[in-house]
Formats: sequence, structure tokens, C-alpha cells
Amino acid sequence: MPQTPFEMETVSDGQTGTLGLTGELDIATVPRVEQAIDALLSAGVESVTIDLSGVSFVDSSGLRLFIVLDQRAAAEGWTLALTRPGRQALTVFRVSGVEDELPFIEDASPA
Amino acid sequence: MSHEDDRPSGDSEGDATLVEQLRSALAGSEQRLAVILDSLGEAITIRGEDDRLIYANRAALQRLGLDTVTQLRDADPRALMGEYETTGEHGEPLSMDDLPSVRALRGEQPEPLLLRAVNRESGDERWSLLKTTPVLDADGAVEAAVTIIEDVTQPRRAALRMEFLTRAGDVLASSLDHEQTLRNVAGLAVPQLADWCAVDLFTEEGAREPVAVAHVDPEKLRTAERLRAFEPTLLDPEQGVGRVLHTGESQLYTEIRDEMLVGAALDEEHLALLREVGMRSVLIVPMSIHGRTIGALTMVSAESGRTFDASDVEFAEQIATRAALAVERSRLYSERSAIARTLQSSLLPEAIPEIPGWEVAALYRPAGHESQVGGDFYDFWQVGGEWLMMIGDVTGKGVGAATLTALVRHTARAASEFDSCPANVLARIDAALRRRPTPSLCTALCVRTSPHGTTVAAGGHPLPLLIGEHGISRIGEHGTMLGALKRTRWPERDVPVRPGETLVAITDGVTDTVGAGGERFGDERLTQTLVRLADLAPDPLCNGLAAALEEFQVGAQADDTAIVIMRFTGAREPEEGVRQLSGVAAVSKG
Repeated sequence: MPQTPFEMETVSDGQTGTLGLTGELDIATVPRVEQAIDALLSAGVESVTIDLSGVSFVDSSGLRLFIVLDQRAAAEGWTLALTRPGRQALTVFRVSGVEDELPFIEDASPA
Repeated sequence: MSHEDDRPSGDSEGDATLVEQLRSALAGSEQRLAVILDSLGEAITIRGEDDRLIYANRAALQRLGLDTVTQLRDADPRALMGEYETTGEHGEPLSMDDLPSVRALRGEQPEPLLLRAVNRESGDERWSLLKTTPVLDADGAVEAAVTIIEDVTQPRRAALRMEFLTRAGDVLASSLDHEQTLRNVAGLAVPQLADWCAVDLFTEEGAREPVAVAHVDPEKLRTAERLRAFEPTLLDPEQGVGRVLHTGESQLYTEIRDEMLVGAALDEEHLALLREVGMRSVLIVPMSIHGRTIGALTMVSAESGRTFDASDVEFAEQIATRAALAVERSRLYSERSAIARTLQSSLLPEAIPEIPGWEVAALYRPAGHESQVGGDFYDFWQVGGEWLMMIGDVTGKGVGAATLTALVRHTARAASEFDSCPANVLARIDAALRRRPTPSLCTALCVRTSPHGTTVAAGGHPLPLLIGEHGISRIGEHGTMLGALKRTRWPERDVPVRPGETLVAITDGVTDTVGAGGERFGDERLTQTLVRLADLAPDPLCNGLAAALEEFQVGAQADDTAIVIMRFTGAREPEEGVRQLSGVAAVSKG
């Protein structure tokens, strides 16, 4: 499979975890994010923030990922927060009606 | 090294006593030499005039089945050789004239020879390395040839088996078509390991399914085919292949005697065929997987005359185990592929229907493994005088995706019977997906066309493109993804499509296709491609777009892609009973 730029960084203090994504989130990279979230949750993290500000591309499997995570958070009793991605990727959230439904916050962390 | 007693050098006019002394000294040293040579493990022979063997040390005599050198000297060398089936390294037949000692006597300088000799009587197989040194007389002429014969049977067998296992490994891994794989394995076994090699598989009911038989000689293969016709499908658990199936244990018949053939033969013709094969030794080993015998490998030694032994059994079992694994792997693969194909084809229309006033083409390219069902789909169906087209993309792959796709398609068809508005169809799909216990998401585009016009609605799906008189444009309006969202809206748009104009609907696998440098195919490239292909009919246009994707794509295809192309020809006749179009943007609350 060809390489599209994608990087992921996890920061956790045990209670809260932040997952910083950079690059392109698609069918090839979605499973990596799922794994990282699972790892945070099984380490006991109760609040997960996914920072999408560095994300330049999201495909439909990326969109589904966030919808599913949002539903999981509600069902499993943890908190999910997202920061908005770049303009082009945000359009995808917008046109599919997903943006309004997801727990977007204005800023992830003033890093 | 002197051996013939009457070839003293020089003239014998002189001192007879001296000659006598020399003779006795020589005779003494010959004897001592003989003692030394007899103590050697290597066989040593000396060949002299008329190619006769004039000396052999103890090891050589033993191998020739003789007791004394006198017996050797009396023997006809061709008759001695005739007791063995002799072949070279690659199975080529060798005659006495090929032996290095005989060639040396003719003044040649032969290379060492690797020779396989099978004793015709005992079936014993030996590999020997023959190295010959000529003995020259005073005039420099070759008077005799001394040959050291090294027994290399064990290393040679080991090397052949290693080589075979390596090649068998490659062969077994090379194909997922297990019948071809087994034919290749059988082919590898001859003539090095056996004169014949046959492979049978067993059905669940224990019936035999002949898969492969190999022999170097095509004439003999025909005999085998005829012989197979006699073999019962249901096997006798007491003998041969049936016994292997029954017990799961190898069967070694070191010596096949004629009465065994008589016992096994079903009738005279069968017996004649069995005799024609001339079986010497037969080895049948099970092909087992987790203790279940799925087949048998039969090795037959015939014209080579060798007999199989315990080390052959062990080796054949190794091969059979590998072959069994390969068969199981390819069986599982074909089953999965067949299931996937069946599922996949049940999720797409069997044929693109004739839609009055439209020319339609569609293409589906599943990503990845053949054995996986993809998540993209398209469908066409008729409701009264209207036609609906839907293209969509459900979450995931495999059986889960197939189930979702089936649900979406059936819901859409059922919903359209009551209300064929694309927005309604999407709303009903959304509702059906929400009733699922696990998050089930889908994007879909629904197009309805009737003599009165064309209407589209999208649910989280890429909007269709219209190749029109004045260029290419996206049509319709975005709506929410199906299956999960609280606030939903699916705005419906009437699309004026003029005759000659073409609708292009895709899934995001098209624009998301990754090319060199990680670049995506994207909207712009899609538009450019469509501009280039704009004048084509739907079929070539569809193929042209697929070819552009193939060309752009680097590496394996990451996501499924589906494409539907509909060109409006305008040549349609209004039908009766056509539903009134709403023409209003529908908004649905989930």
C-alpha cells in the first residue's frame, strides 16, 4: 500500500489522554487510531481528546471512526473531545452532517 | 601397480635367476598389496584387456556379489554389468562404454562418474562415484585402468531429498489451485524418487478422487490412466490406498510378487495391466491434517527396479504432510473465495437493466483479497414507471459488510414501493440502520428518474457529476450520513438532464485512490479525466475511468471503488401510472 503521510502522538497522565493526529486519516490509518484509543482506555484513561488540527484529509472510514467513538464513549462511560481539522478535511465533516453531532471543542490544548 | 605376471620389462635373454627372483618379489608385494587393498572400505577394481575385470578388492567383490578374484576374472564383464540397472546423475541410462575404466582403456581421460546402480534381483539401490586412473606400460600405452569406487548412496540420497524438499516447498507455495499443486508435486517425484507417483484425495465419505499421476514416459501414463479406470471409488479398507485411509498409516510393499497382483486384480484385463506396469515396490503414505487423512501419495518403483525401504517411508511422509497442508490451505482459500464471490454477486445486480431513455454502465472494483466482500454497492430497480439507482458504501468488509449491504438494498427497495422519493428512501435506510444493535453506518446516493425528470438525494455520499453541454459540474446537495446522526437532512434536488448528458456517480474509493508520492486522485483529476472521456458512451467511459485509476494508483488498492455512469439519450416514452414527483426538498427527523 502506498504511503500517505500520517503520524500519531499519544500523551497521557493516567486520567486524561490526548491523541494528536497529523496527515491523512483514511481506511489504511483508521485501525491505528482505534488501537491507540483502545490502549488509552485499557490503561484507565477516562477522558480522551483527539487533536485533529494537523489532519489534512479524512475519508468516509475516518468519519465513521469518530461517530463510532462518540457512541462508544456514551455507552462505555468515558469522555471524548475533538478539535477541528484543517479546512479541507472539515468540509467532509460538514457536508455529511457529522460536524454538529461530534463533541468538537475549540482547542485541544494550548501546546 | 603390476598384476599380470607375464609382462616383465626388458629382454629375458640374460640371467634367468634374476628374473625368477624378481617374479617372486613381485608376487610377494602383490600379495601384500592385496591385503592392504582388501582392508580398504572403498571398492577398487582393475580393468584390463578386452575390458575384463582382472582385480577387485574385497569391498568391490562384495558389491559385485562375488567371492574370489578368480570368479571375477572368469566373468563376462557385460554380464556382470547386466545385473544392474545403471543410470547417471540425471536418470540417463548408462552402458558399459560410459564407464570411466572402459573409456580410459580406450585412451580417453574420463571425468569421475556419478552412477546409480540398482541390482535387478534385489532391488538394492546404490550411488557410486567412480574415479579411474590409467596404468601405462613401458611404451606409454594404457594397459589397465584402476578405478576407485566410492559409495555415495547416503549423501546422494540426502542431497536428492533436500533438493526435492526445497523444490516441493516452492511448488507447494506457488499455487492456490491445489489440483495443480499436487500435479506439480507428483511430477517432481519422478524419476528421482519413484518411477510413478500418484496422488489421491479422499472425500468426506471416504471415496477416492484421483488427482494426479506422473511418470516420465507419456506412454506409461496412458497405462496408468487405464489402470485407474479399474480402481473402485470406494476403497477396500484392508489393502493399499484404502488401508492407508482406514488406518492413517503408511503401507510399504517392499516386494510386489505376482500373486499379490493376482489377488488384487478385478479381472484378466486388470491383471494384464497390473503386470504391464511391472511394479517392483510400492509405498503409500497418508496425507494427514490434524489426524484426518485427506489423501494419499502413492510411489511406485517399476522399471528402475529399486525397492523402497524405511528411509523412503520417512521421507515420503514428510512430503505428504507438506502436500496435505498445501491442499488444506488452498481448499480453505477456494471456499472463502467462493463464498465471497457468491455474497458479493448477491449484493450487486445480476445485470445492468435496460432503463428506457438511458444508457447505463457500472463497475465495481473490490479492494484487497479476493476472499473478502467489499463494502461498496450499487443497485437499479423499477417502481412503476420510474427507475431508481442507488450507489453506496457501508462500513467494513467481509460478512458484516455483506449483511449491512443486503439490509440497505432491501430496505431501499421496500421503502420505494410506498414512496419513491430519494429522500424517503434514504430516511428509511437510516431508520433501519439505527435499529441495528451495533453502530452501522452507510453513505448512499439515490437517483430517481422518470419521464418527468431526474431527482437526487445524498446521505453523506459524494455528489454525482453531470457531464453537460457546458462542462462538468457536481449536482445535488449534501445530506447526512445514514445510520447514526441525531439531526438528519436529505435535501432532494431535481436535476435537469438533457439528452446526451451523462450522470457519473462514484464512491469515495475513486477520489481517495492513492498515487505516487501519496497524492490522492481527487476531485480535480476526476473532472479532468471526465473531460477527456466526455464524448464516450457509458461503457467505454466507465472503462476509461477505471483505466485512469489503475494507471494513477501505486501499490495495492486500499478501498473499494464503485462507478455508475448513466447517459440520457432522451429516447423514452412516457408510461402510464407514473407517480407525481414531489420536487420538494425533503427533511426527515431521525
